Amino acid sequence: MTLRRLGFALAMAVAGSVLAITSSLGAALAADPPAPTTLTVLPTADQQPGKPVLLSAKLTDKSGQPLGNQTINFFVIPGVFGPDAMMRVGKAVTDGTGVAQIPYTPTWIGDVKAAASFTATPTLAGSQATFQFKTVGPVRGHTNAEFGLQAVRDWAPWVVAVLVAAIWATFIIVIVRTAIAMRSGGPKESSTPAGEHLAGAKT
Amino acid sequence: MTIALSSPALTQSNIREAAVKPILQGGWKWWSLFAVLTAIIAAGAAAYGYQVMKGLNVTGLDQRVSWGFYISNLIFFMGISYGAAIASAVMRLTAVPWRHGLTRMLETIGLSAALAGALFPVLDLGRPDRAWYLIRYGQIGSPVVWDVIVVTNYLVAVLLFFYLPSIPDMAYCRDQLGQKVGKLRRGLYRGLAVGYGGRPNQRRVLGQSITVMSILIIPVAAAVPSVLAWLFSVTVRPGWDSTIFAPYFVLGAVFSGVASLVVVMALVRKAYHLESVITEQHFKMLGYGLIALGAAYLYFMIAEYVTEGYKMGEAGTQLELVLTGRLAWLFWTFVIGGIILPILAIALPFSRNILGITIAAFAMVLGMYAKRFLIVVPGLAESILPAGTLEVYHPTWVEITITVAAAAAIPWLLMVFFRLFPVLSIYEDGTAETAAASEGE
Repeated sequence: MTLRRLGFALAMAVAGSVLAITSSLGAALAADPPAPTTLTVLPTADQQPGKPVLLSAKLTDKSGQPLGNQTINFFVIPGVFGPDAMMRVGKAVTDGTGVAQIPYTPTWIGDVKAAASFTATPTLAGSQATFQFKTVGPVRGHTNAEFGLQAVRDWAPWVVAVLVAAIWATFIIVIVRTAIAMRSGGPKESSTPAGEHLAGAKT
Repeated sequence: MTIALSSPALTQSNIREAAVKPILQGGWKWWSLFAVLTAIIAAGAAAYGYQVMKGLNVTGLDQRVSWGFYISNLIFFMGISYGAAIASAVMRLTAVPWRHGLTRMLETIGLSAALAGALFPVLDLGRPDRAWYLIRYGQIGSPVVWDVIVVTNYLVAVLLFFYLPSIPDMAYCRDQLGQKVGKLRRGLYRGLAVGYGGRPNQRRVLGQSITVMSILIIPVAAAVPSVLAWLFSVTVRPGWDSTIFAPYFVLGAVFSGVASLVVVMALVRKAYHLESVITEQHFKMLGYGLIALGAAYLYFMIAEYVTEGYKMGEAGTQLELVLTGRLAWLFWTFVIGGIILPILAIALPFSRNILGITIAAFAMVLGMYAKRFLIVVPGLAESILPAGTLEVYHPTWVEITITVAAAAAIPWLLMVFFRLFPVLSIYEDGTAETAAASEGE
């Protein structure tokens, strides 16, 4: 008797689960797909010395209407870890005009490739945009302590370079001078008596 | 008083005949030895090919001990080279009267050992193409770049130092050997003699060039062991914190260079029957030099270890490894068998003969190899992290094969050079005759 009850309860549980899954799938299929969005990057001015840059992006729907209160992530693409590897530098929420912006202090000099990204929600599709700007480098908040004998460190490579150049100049002078002297004319091979050309030779 | 170092009966003509004897004398013994050495070198080349294909993991090197046999070999072979070059240059500049039988051999040893030794940094890199990175991306602040600069300078210098005194000898071979040698060697002599005809201007300029190179090669050669020493002592390794490494390395180089010369001299003397040119007196003079150099090296080593040992705080350092630890057998074998006993063998009259001095010099050469290993490996084996353990380094068959091949490459190169160049400097034999004549006075 007890077994029958247990079997009935199990069957009802399975049937209930199947019904629940089927109905939620149906609801999902019947719901509207997420609305497409567009992320437009606002022009980023090149960095001025000592100042951060402002990374800005505007999120709109398919009819161009701004989408407020949505989170935008900003990334830089260092390129060191591969062309697609992105490093997040901050996030901001869009305002009523759909604009989100963050200040960013660059940590290197040159062209910076960056990206703004909106992650998909149940009702809105994700979107992403990349952009580029120039930096003049970070402004140091400190000054490196000088190593000892900094003056010597400055001129030592030049002294070494001069010494090496002097050594090579000597090599070249020795080679050229010897070659010229050898070409200055000697007796023909057959006319040189045994050992005659060696006489008196000393270092 | 002039020290007699050649037989009184020896004439200039005899010396020249003796000098070119190896060029004309081949024979099955020469070819057999040449074939054996070639086979050993080929085995080394094959081992290196295997290393290039498989990577450095086929060696005993690892992240900690990254300089094992290869860098020990670099210091050892380059040490022999610049030691020989410096010894020859000093002999020339000080006009040592008994140098004439030795300078060519010293310069040939210098060139051969440099060619063998200079390959080892490339071997240690693993991928040979990375050698280019040292030039392309090298920074002048790195001692490795200093090493590239000084080794390059030295290779050019030793080549010139070998070649310039050979020019008149090449002219002699060009003019006197004629049909006794093949077409190839006749062409070689014609080319290398570069038109030398013994004219006063040629002799004067050549003499000046040799003198300039004799002066220049001393600092250029001394710079190589000095920079190698700095490469060690500026690295953050407790066992290498030393201010005397540079002169210590230069001294070790001259010591092993002169010891190698004695061994080569004995072999060449025996092989080419140069007993009348290279006498027992040559061996004794070099033997006295070896006593002084060996004693000085011992002094430097004691100074180094006393300083390091006195300040040593905790157990498990490289000094313990060397003096009482796993490598103690090698260290004490070097001290007793490579320095003290050879010095005694040369100092004591009953063993101060050609055989005794040669055996002593050979023991010194082997001992100096062991010492280079004891400088390189224990220094890296010690951990620089707190509570780290000593690393154990075991060279593999790849490193051993390549090392044996490099050791074989030096006699191989000497055999080749002495088949092409006179084994004695004919250029300077006039003074040798004078020395012989002085003996009769």
